[in-house]
Amino acid sequence: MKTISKKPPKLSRRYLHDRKWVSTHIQELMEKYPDQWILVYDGKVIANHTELGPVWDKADALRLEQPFFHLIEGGVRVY
Amino acid sequence: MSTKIRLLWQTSFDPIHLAHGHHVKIIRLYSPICFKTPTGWSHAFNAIIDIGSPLTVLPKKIWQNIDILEILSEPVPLGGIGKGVLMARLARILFVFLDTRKEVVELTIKAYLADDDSVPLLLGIEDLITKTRLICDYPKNKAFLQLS
Repeated sequence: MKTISKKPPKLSRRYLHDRKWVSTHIQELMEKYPDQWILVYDGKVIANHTELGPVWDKADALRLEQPFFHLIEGGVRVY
Repeated sequence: MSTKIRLLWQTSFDPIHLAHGHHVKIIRLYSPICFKTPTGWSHAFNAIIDIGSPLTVLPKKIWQNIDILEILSEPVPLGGIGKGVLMARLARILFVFLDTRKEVVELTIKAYLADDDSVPLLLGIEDLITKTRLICDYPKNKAFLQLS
């Protein structure tokens, strides 16, 4: 493990806000999007799908900067 | 001097049990990470810190779009995840933690590249917990990985 100089982008305020938004609304998101990947931007769910691919593609199509992706678990999941 | 990587707790309640008046907490621990790609850096992803998983697991869409340092095996069956039998290749990958104060911390790890796009992004024990100290304090809503 080491630190590197070529830095990846910092997490934006909007990204952190969207992360907090998901955490705050997680219960209703579980009801609406169980076991689906969601794409959140500016406090809105832009896309959802059981697979990550279509959600990722939507973010790229919209050219969203640092979109927030999250897999919503529909209940207790043991991996 | 050590580096702290902040982790985030998320708590929800299982909706099935909740409907029957039982509060069963679903608690997850997350860390935002991203991966090197041929052109720069991938999207950021909230990875689950999963100390129940021996190794890291990547959904198909992620590993198809990042730099893979080395493929270490042919597809092998993984149990306990995904839709029944899940096939995955073992590989060596590199990622960076994004929730650090100043330093950028990269980690080279072994990971399973899942042949499925619906699985979660899991950071497992080997090469993560084996190389860091995991400090958890759920009652105080704190958790971090510590590197010395």
